[in-house]
Amino acid sequence: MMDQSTSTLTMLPTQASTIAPGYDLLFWVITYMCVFFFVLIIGAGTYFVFKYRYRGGEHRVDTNHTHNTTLEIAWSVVPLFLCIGLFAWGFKLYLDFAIPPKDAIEIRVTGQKWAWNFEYDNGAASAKEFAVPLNKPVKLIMTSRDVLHSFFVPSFRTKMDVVPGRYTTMWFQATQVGPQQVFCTEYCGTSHSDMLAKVLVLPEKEYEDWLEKHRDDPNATPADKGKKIFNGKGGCNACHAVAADQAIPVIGPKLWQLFGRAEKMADGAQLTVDENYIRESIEYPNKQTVAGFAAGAMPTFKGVLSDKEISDLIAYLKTLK
Amino acid sequence: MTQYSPKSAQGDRPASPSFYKAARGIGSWLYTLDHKRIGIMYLVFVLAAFLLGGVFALLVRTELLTPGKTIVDANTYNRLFTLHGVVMVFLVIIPSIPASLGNLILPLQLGAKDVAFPRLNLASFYIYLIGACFALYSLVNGAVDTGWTFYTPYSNTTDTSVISMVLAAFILGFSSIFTGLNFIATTHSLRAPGMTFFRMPLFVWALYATSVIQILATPVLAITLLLLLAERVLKVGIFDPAMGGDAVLFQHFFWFYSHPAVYIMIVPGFGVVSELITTFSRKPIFGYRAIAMSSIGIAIIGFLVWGHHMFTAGQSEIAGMIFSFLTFLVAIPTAIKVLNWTATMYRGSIVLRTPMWYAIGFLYLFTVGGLTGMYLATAGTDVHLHDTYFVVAHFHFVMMGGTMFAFLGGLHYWWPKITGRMYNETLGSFACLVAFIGFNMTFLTQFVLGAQGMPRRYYNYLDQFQPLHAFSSVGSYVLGLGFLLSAVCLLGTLFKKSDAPDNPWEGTTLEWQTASPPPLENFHDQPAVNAGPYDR
Repeated sequence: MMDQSTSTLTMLPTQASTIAPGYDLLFWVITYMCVFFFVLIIGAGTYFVFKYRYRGGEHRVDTNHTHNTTLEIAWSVVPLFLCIGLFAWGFKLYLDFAIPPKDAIEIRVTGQKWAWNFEYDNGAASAKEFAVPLNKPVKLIMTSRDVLHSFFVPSFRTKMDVVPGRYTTMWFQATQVGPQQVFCTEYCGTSHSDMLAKVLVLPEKEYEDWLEKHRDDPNATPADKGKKIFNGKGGCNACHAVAADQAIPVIGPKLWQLFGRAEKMADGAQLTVDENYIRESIEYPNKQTVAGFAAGAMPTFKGVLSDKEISDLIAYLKTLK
Repeated sequence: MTQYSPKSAQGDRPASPSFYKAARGIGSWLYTLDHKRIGIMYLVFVLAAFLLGGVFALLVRTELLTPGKTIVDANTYNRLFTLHGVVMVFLVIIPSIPASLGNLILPLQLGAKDVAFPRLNLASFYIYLIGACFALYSLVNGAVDTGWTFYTPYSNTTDTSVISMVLAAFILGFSSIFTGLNFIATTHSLRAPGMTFFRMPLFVWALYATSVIQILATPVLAITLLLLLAERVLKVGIFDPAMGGDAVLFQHFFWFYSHPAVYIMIVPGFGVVSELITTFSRKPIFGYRAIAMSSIGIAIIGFLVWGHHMFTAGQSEIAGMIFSFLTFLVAIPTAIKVLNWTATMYRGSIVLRTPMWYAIGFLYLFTVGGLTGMYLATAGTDVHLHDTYFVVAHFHFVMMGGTMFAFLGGLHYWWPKITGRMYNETLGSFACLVAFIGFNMTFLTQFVLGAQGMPRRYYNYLDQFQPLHAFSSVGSYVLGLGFLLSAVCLLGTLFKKSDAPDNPWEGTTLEWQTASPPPLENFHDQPAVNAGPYDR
């Protein structure tokens, strides 16, 4: 659930960022304007239909009311001024979204089919959820590894496309402790609607603890590091299950009991999974795909993961029984 | 009293056979150069495509009854919403009013024997058919899952049948250009004696403005789609960053056509509604010149607003500002039209027949569609609403509530002229009411879903959205039922005898001065005009 206080008929989600109240004010001002003009236009129309409807007999002949310069200028100019007012207010709000405060904490966000990854300056990394401190401005520097995505947090009222080959930014300052829903809002294929994440808004102290917990541990074994990459930088967990009881959408092959498993390939060939097949599947995922899984579903990680990181991943995959 | 009439009076016209009876056999249709026959062939295919696109829509809505899988898997769902969009945009809405009703009525309203280039007109129809074949080929070959927008780099990497679908859109574009060229030439050269530009019916004005957009904007789509093909087939990096291209460039190209295309879709509807409201109010239209000029204004400013589809795409803030401002500017001529139509009903003598119910439905739905555009034109409020169901609701109110209601209104209005038959008035009005109720159930709900943050093109969704999704799906069935009823109402008339009078609605424009259905070359005597189109 996005938020318990959002019921079926509440128009806007909860306000959880500094920009949300200003956004909602403009939203409701436009709404009241719309209601006013709707009642005016449709009210007049409905009244005319009722009042002047043909009731049999001779038709009323009125050829006088075909033009009225004063009226026509009035109903062109008044909406024009209203529109210019709305435009200016809306642009001001747009700039508020666009310009982050100078002291904002920077988090790097990477989108890929179909997962979000988050990296912090201290080396902490995570996927599916990421922490931000309460009441501090946060700036996301975002890019995509494959196709277009879009990062949308309804309770913050903010959204920005995530584009391969360039960086886009967005910022927010959270005002409510608790998890907030993130959606991908640019269509990106099969599991577009499952490309979700959570923003964990934490008080300062808990935020620091969270960062510490998600840092690289120099004493970790390769398998530990591999697990971190699997669930963090690589975002492998978005599509691959590592245990029989795990409920995720079936997008990629299951990865427990992987080593030594005989797999049937899409082209009919049989092969036994070993280190080289795993490596190839990470770097050139479409070269040999397992039968029953769509080619093109997995992006390449060549140039994204280093040799060291790939061997750590393989070490981790070997531990999955 | 009326001076807008042909030289020969209604009664003493010698009987000449209708254009249906002027020639017989399948060849007389396949090789016809008669604008009315071409219009009818277009009408048949547009309605068939509307049925197909409608079935896709109902499947999409059925899938969305519950989160996760209801009837199909995610990949099938992605194909269904893509096909719904592609079929509705390229095969239904764009050709709907201009190519079918426009072909049938424009020469009649001008007092002409045919369009300026009858052979080009037939070529346009066959190109439409070829385009439709490519679309069908793609459909049976696994279809496409890119969304109707074909956004790169997704469209460049998916293994679905993108090439044939892109070729379909490319080819259909030429059909649209041919029709536009023909209408412009016809309007300039074949007006009846005495018909100055400001004595042309507003439907003609609307088609003229539409044609200008068609011939100027459609080539840009053709270029864009060719570049997309070059990238996919020849691996030339244009839009895909993996090959050194720029993903956002495609969006600029695409919307440079596709935003004006929104006006290609709605402006003809404005023309139809102008005719309906003045005829059924039995009163000259209010602000004729303002309505005519606002069509041209929309056609011009409509070219300069494409960036409002990209407020959150990472374009510069300055670009965002300019596009937001221009978008508000294009709202003004649109508002002027709505106000003029409302004012036309003032002190009229309003006859509530089926076409008028569609026109009133249009007024309501288009007003909602137009007003909700303000949230999206305002750059700041668009950020939250962009790519959510709010946008889906907004454009369905404009395209479906606007264009399709106008199209159906026009179809009911000119049906007696086209077929020579009157339909059952009660059933026609009832079908309109059912469709209206169904439409509002389906799409008003989606404004709320969108504001709550429900993203579009989602197969799966959070449980909290389910009640509104289910309600919207039920609404879509009611909407479908409404259209089914109107199909029964209209098609049922084909089984009875010709019974329509020449001018059943007391219309004042020239098409009502000839027989229903008209003879081969439309008028027995060349009509002449010495007054405005709606003078009574």
